[in-house]
Amino acid sequence: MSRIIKEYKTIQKQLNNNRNNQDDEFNNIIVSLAPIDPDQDLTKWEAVIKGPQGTPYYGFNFILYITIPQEYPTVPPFFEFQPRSMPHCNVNYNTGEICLDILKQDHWTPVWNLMSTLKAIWLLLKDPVPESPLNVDLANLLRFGDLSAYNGLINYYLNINVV
Amino acid sequence: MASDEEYSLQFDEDESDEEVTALYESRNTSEFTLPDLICHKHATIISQESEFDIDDDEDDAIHEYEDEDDEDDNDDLLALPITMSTKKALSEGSVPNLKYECLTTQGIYERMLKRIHHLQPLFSIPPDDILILMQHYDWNEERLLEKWTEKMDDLLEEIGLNVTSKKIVDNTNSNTRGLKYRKDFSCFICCDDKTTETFSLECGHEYCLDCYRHYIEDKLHEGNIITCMDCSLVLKNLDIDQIMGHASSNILMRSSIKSFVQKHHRNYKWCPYADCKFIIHLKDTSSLGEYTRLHYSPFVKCNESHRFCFHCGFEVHAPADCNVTNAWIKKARKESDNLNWVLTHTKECPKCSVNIEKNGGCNHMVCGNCKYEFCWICESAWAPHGKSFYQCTMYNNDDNGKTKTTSTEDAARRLKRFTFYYRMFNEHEVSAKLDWKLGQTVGIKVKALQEKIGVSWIEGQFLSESIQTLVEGRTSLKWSFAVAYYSDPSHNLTKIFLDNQILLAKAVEELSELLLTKQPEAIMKKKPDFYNKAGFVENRRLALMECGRDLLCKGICKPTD
Repeated sequence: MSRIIKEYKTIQKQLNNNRNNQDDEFNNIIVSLAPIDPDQDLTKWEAVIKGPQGTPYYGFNFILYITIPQEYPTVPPFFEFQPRSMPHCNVNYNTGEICLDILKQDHWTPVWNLMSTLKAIWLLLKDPVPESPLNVDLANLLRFGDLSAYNGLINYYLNINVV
Repeated sequence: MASDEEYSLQFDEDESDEEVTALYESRNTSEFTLPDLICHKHATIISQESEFDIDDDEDDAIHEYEDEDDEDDNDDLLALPITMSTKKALSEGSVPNLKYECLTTQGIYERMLKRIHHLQPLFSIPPDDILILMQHYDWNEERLLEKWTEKMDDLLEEIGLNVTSKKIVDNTNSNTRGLKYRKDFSCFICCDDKTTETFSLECGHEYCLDCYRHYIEDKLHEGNIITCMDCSLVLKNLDIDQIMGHASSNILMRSSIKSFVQKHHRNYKWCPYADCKFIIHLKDTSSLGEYTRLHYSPFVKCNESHRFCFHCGFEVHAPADCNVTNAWIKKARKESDNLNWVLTHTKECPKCSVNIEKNGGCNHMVCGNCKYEFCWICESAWAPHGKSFYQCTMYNNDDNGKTKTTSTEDAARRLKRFTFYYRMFNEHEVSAKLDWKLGQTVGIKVKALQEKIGVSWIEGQFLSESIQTLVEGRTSLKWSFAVAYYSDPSHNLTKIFLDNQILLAKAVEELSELLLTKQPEAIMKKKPDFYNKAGFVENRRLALMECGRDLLCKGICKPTD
């Protein structure tokens, strides 16, 4: 648990620093990353990230729920998007489940932390991997090269939630 | 009654005539004379009790066969003396010429070490490093050598045995491999500040021993090469043992060999019996298809005397063939809720038929057993999915909506029929287990016999042989119910089969009864009875098996649904 407390402190410090300096590429992507109830439970976290520029996600914020298992950091943390909020070819739209290799035990190493994992997920938004999709429709459109349909479909889903 | 002379004459003919031998071998299937041979043998035993002569003859004949083949095997680098001879296969009513060996993970590993020792002069790197290379290439020596001649030092770097300059962290003093004792060390993983022992490789990624131990413990059972937590530099077996404080690398090697066995499931099969550690290695699998085509099942026997079918990996199941066995087992399990769950939540790996539960992740599945990559939706190989358009989404799961048009009455009748056969099957399974237990006490009885009356070991052998025959008879009987279930009940041959079944059941029960004799003296007196009954069981069993095979060959027995 000392690891997660330490991480919490570093994250708070980093997020504060980021507001004051704008150099880092990742500076502005994380709106918030904190335990839902910092006084009681450090195993349930919530994060809000911004959609990357140059993607249909730009201009939207996305909520992620994070569960820290008891064995963390030997075992990867569990990340998922808020259900029915993320139309992305590597995310299950209905459940928010994310298919990313580093989130699986085989590829996870304890050197990763919550911050770096969140950055990896953000990069996934930027560069979808249609080769191993959870959202097959979007992956098909992307692979077919029909970008207008792809962007359109994502926009459609994103705007459902706004209204 | 046939005599010994006739018997050996038969073999002599085979040996002298090379063409015949070649034909016999090339066909690789059992001749129809084979069961005759066996019956023949038993008949002789019963009449003369001179089994030793016959066995000698047979051994000689088989050695001849083996010698011929061994010459071919000499260039096979993994060749070991063949532990099981064809003699066993013959006496089991199975097919001859199935050459296999019985191994353990340790045995395979030791063989690999021997290979590495041989290869060492070629590589000019320490044996430990070659071990890692072998592990990386799935113990495939040829592929390793190929890559080695292609890349040499680059390969070492790629796999993580050598450090590349750019990977080194600019820590001046910690860039040595091994354990260090540090005061007030702040571990990056657990974020504790403590005075502790640490470990790092040449890359300088240094973590406390506790964290390293947790990390390695998790990885040991995966059987993959373990690397530094932050880069691709490899932890060698020596490092692992050093970190863990004891010989843990053995576990890793064992897991690695296990995954090797599973990946090569065509040639290597685990003995399916509970807690049995043996692996059967069949070098030449080309003949397996031929066996199944003729509805034989290629049985093998591990060093613990467990017999199982090499084709389907299930326990010995004659007279049923692999298809019937498979169908029967599925059917039997279907009746339980467990299977309902398995059917709805899992799919079979298209390659090795292991049931796989998809509990998350994308549709790109990698079978944990044989590492086959496939698509969850269409159950075909993954490779084409990586590049082209998804065709498999077009597939509709409509056929899952089971709209059974058959009336419920019909279904009920079928269920009743199945339940009957299944109960019979089960009863013999239970009995076989009980007989096996009886077999354990027979060992004690035999011992008591030797001490009490002072008979020689060889004279008491008939008891354990009878037990063996009894268990084999029960097993065949058990599977014959599966065959009976799938057979057309109106056909004449089925009726003959059922008659045979009854005869075997009767023979088995008689032998079983005989084995319940308590007094050692009485047992000795009944020795001729034992031979008679055991021989009878064996004959009936072979007849039933042949009859069952006939049903299968003629298509009268067809596994459905």
